[in-house]
Amino acid sequence: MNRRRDELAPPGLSAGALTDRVSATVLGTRPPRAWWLALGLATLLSLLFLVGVVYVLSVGVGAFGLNIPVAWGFPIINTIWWIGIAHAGTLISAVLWLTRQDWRASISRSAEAMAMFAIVLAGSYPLLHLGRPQFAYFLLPYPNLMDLWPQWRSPLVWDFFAIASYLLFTASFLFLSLLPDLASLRDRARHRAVQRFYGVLALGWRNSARHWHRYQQAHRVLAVIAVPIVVSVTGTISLDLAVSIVPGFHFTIFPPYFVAGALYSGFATVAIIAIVLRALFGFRDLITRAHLNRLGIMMLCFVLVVDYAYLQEVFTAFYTGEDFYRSVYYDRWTGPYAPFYWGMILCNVVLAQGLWFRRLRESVPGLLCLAVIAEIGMWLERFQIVITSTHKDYMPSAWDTVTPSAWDWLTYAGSIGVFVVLLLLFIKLMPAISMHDMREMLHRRKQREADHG
Amino acid sequence: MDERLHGLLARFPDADHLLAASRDLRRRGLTRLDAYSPHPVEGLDQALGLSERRVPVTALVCAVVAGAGALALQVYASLDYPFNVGGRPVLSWPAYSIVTFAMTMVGANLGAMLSMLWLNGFPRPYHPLFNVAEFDAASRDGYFLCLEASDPLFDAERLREHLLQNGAVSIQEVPA
Amino acid sequence: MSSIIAREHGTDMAALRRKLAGRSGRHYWRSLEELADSDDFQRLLEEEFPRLAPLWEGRVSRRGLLGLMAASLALGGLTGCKPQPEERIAPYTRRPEDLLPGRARWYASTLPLDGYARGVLVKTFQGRPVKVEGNPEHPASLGATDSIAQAEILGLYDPDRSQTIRYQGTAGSDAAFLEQLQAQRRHWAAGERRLCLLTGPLTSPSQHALIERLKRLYPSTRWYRHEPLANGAAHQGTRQLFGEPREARYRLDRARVILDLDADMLGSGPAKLVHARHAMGRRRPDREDALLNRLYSVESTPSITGASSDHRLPLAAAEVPALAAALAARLGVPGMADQAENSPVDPAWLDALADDLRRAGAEAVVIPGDTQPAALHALAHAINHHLGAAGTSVEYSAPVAPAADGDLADLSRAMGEDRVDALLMLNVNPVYNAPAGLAFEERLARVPFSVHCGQYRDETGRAALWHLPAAHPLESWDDARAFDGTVSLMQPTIVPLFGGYTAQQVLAAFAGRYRADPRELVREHWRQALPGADFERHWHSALQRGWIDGTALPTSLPTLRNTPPPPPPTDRDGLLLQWRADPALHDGHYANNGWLQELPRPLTQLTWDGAALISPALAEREGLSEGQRVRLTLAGRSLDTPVWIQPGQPARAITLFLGQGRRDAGRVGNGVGVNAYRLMPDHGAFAAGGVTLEVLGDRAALASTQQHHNMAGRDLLRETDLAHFQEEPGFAQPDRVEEPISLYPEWDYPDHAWGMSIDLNSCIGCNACITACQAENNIPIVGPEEVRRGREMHWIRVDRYYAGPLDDPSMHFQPVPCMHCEKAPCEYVCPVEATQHSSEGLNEMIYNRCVGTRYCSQNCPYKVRRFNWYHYTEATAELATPAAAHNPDVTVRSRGVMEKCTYCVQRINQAETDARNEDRPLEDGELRTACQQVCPSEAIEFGDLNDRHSAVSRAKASPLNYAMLEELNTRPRTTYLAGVRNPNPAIQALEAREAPA
Repeated sequence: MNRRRDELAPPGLSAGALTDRVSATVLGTRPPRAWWLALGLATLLSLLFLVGVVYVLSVGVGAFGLNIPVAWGFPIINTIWWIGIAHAGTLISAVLWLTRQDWRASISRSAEAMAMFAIVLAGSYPLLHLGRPQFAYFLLPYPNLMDLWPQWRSPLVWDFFAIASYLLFTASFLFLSLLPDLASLRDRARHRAVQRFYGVLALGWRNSARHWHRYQQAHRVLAVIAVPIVVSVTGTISLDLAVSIVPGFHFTIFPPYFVAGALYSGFATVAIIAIVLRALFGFRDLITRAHLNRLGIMMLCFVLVVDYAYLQEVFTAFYTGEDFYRSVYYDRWTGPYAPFYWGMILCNVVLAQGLWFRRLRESVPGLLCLAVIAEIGMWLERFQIVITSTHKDYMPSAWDTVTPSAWDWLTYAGSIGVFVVLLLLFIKLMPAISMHDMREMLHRRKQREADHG
Repeated sequence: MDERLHGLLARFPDADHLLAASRDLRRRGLTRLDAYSPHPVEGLDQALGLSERRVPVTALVCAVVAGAGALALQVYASLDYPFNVGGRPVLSWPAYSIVTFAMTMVGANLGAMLSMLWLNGFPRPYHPLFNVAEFDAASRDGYFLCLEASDPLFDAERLREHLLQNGAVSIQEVPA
Repeated sequence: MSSIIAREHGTDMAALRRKLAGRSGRHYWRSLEELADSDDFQRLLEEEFPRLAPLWEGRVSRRGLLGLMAASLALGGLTGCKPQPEERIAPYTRRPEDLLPGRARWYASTLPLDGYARGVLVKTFQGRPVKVEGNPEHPASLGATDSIAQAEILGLYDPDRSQTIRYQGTAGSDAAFLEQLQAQRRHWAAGERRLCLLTGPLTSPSQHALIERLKRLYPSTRWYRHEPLANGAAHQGTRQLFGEPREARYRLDRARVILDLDADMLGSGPAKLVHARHAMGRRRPDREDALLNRLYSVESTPSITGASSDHRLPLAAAEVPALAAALAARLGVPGMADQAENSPVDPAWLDALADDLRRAGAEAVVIPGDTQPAALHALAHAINHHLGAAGTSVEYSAPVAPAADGDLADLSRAMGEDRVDALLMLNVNPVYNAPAGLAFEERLARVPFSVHCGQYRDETGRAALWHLPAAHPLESWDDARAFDGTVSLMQPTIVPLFGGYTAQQVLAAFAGRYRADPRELVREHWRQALPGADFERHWHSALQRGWIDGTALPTSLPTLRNTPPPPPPTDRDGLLLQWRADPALHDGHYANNGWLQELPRPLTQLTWDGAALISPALAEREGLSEGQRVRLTLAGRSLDTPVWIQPGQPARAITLFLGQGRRDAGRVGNGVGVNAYRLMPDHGAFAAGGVTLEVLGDRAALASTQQHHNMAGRDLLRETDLAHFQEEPGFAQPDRVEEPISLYPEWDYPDHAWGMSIDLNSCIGCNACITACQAENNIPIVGPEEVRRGREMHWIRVDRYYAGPLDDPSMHFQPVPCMHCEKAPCEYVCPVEATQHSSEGLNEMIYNRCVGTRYCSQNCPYKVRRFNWYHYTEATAELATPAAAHNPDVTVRSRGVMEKCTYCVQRINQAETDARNEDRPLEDGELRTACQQVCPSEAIEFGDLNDRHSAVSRAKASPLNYAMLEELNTRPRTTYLAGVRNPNPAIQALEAREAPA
């Protein structure tokens, strides 16, 4: 295939030039106007989130559109959605590193940051979901006079540990990859204060071979445990549903199915961010069409798994021969929430096929659309799983529906605002592209070229 | 004069020269030398005889300890205050696997992270090398080799020779 | 969201019928939306499916806000507080004997309804009534009560009750009142002016004696009786037949074939509890002491009686007499021969019924409804007489209530002619519940001296010159007669909270005895009425029992004087408007009672705002769907109300429920529903033709606790008929396994293993258990908004299912409390052990530990768990239950915690403690749950499964016993006894022939 098209970085780009350019985005004088605009809008949105949270905490979860039988709603949906988004970050920065994928270098940083903030949001929803958030610590195993411990059989306890460990992992991984770049910024910075700021964060990193030696060992360890973590976290979340006896929740296929879905939406988010970075800081040559292409390919792989899971799920439901399971599906297809189901199918099954076409994957608007569709589709998927399963389960006399309230929508939309704010601040304060990864990549390329003569 | 010297800092044009120089000087029996590069250079650690595996080992140990601890805690908690929960057995061990697994990961994670920072002596706000203006390039595109004065075989004059032979583009003394 | 779901409505009933016709065998459907699979219905379904809750669920109500402001002001005032002067108070050293703090004390008393007594036992804590139970010895209770009696506790503490004497609306004093009264009395005594009394349907001997006294004092005095829910037809009918008014008393314990002619004998009337016990309590084909009676009901409005019958025939109210006449003709009642041919129903059906009645002979009984005209009563009793049932399964006594000088119509006529100078209205609310035609409110204004005495300053209280607060029955000394005349005594269990007066006090005051002691007024009467040396002993024992022995009215066999008159001619088509008492609010007196407002009405399952019941056929013709608003016009007056499509409603009949649409009921009841009394004809008939129906554009969101739900072919409720049961007794346990298998170890419950059995044969769906549970377990009221969102809090619900054709389905009830599964799915998913099993097999909630993940509810297949979405119980909540009404033995749950049926664990613990203290084993039956205790037909058994001989163990040993959703292997501790009906084979054959193959 056309080698120019597949270029990951401009030809004669030197490590020095790259370092200067990237650090300039941080140390350089004023961020672009678009950045300020985006920040302003996102801040407004996150203020709405604040309003929603305060209101819900003050009057109670009754503010959400919930009832018996549908006692789980948006908070759960959004938790699953955000945690899913986080996964791609881990996969890119860890798994692709293990497999020595050069193309990860320029996008790994933003992917890791995205993962970080997504998990923070995912972790905040369960608190909002609780009837008595002030007692959330009851889920912790802490010694107390009543000798009460968490109920270890409950998937919610598993969740807590899974999400907490994932948060820790992502945080340390992000810091690890930042460390050498912080040193670079320290060395580039001209103002004393800035130097101190990055100097303190850099902890005294000196690019010594010893540092690099241990650094790579630690990096390898984290990268290795990243693989099982990626698989386990969403898997555990999916057990919340799969472990129950609710028709529509109780499927053994859920863990792999959820992981695939998570990665699908995650790569979509990375694609969006990559496109935004290109636009904001003119990184068109560092984040090239080749990157977009590869992101598209990843999305395609995972969406195909998801589609298979949809099929599998329906098959299982009917194969059980149980009326309960079958009627859940009839209801999803024809019931009051059918629009959500078919919307999901439209996004994740029909439109997602656009990813087959390289032209679409490589065109910025094309991929952007496909990515946004993926996000919507995955949210709809979680909606129809969480809402439509209990609203028509075993006892017809208890069947009922819920209408999401304004507070549901507010806390959902607002969380996106928070996410964007955090991301924008990050790419202004930290190098949006991993300089040391890029330097290594360029070095390796130089060697390859030397070898090829 | 010499006591107040931290060592000699030589800059090399690229990674290959740095690698060669490190090998050469190690062969000459120098022990207290360190290389600085803007990115990890393959083979450099062998060249400098860095073969310690303390980071992964610590990670492994922490992982095992954390995992075992988590499992023990769950078993203890179940027996400490047994309940009839949905008619399930008091010791529902399959249910414990997930928390155990998560804590194992936490152990490995913290082990690797903290041992790396600890062994690298972080945080280290001050280092003599920071006094060398040119050294900033180490985080850009500069490849440096530093021969420390504390080395028993340290002899500034002779080592300058070797460095130059190995293609050092510039050599300067690092005040302690 | 709603835009996605909101579709245009429009209902194709024909499609439904086709669908139903297609169904063969017993197919249950829960309500119209069952036919969801039909596209047209899908629209109706979805149209209503979402709870169209307002998008912004604001919780800071106007009143809440004012409350907060008031609070902050009050706190602001605190800054000015001075330290209180030191005071000495006396400690509570000598407590009354055997008054143990924390121990309940029980007092026998009486709660009247429509003037008739219902004997109750009142549970009090430190002199605070908290619960009402039936008095097992009382003839009208037999230990059971209804929802209204249960809810009296809430009514007692209702802060909206009248608290002061009022003169022209402003607070007045009793001195001022007595002054005016004094002046008036002189005029009455002199005969210059006329005093009139208006009372409810009272049976109280002591009140009656005082009224008589007034009439002696002031000869011109007239006493009128206002019965909003009856029109004296029963007495007229018996007078026509026997020459004198008689009151029928039905001995259903002796009847094998019962025909209910629009009487709803299980759901209304002073003897409903006794009827339920006798007619339904022994319908247990698996027992040897079974009484397998056969119940026919012909009804103009679907009722729990029809639902419990073996044969139910929907028939517009106006056509019932014709049916009775045709039946009488078939039975050969003299003088009826010519009526045989104009039967409004299939003659074959009537023949089969007649044969059945004839065969039963003296063991048959025909029960006419009080809302029916006199002619029907005459016919029904003629049939009873002819069958020889009179004297066995129906007995006759003199009327229980003394005769008054006239009814409301007479009074308002007198008022119109200015023949009323002074009017005392005692515990009545005619301004609200008089037919508009009587123009009562206008005419009341012309009465110079009008006095109203009632528990609330209601519509009448505001219209009258003087308003006196009345004492609540639980605060009063009083007496009343039960349906059989037995005098029941009412003794106060608490001093009047708001200083109300008893009826006797007011009557005495009018007779010149001011500020008389209410207790003395009642005692005096009985000291004279009860001859015999030892009055005190007699009186004391009577108070202890709650009723006076041997005061039941004697029965006699009346002689037939005339043949019954022919039924009034009626048109057989055109819309017919019918009025019925609201099953919960009764005549409207209880409109301010949140428990009753939120009680799902039987069959419709509607709470709060009611609706006019229309038949599916009418809905089809007018293209109406549920909640659609219509305008009903009758004789120039019209009423706008939403409609409810009621399967089994006679095609041409529209039923309005009385008791709603209160203007001045109180904060809870104001403006809920519409006032159907306005349309009633002046002459007090409960049905009227010539009504027009006009469809309005808008729709009302009705708060039904169960909508559009069907059985989806799931065998949650199992039932068959007697024949099938006899050939296959184990039909309810198709796949029974001796040793249930499970992956999990068996836990053993050494000392007790509590379990419950619910008999679907006996359950009549009266919903008394719901209110009893609410009263016992401090269950909050959530209000219509929350009910619409599906957040009702009742711990026990009574599911209702329909089977068969849309126009005439059979109806079935199934109470569903927590199943207390041994392998409870709710427990293993709780992250904090907030729900787990007790050593006695109870599935327990630990409120303090609950963090509100709601996972347990998600994983509960029976969906019996309830969640506190908001702080329903906080003092400032809109509908908070007054703290005083709470059961001190039960935790009041706060915001964000899950709750559910506990098998009344507080009662279990109490009983166990008592047994332990007395060092004896716990007897079976000494411990009863609230729902079990209240049940009139004893459908619920509760007890220890470890005791092989306990009632519940025996019930579970029955071949009818089955567990709901047992395939999930949750091992429910609550199981059901499958229903077995006893239909008439001849009629079954008929239906089989009619039913399309």
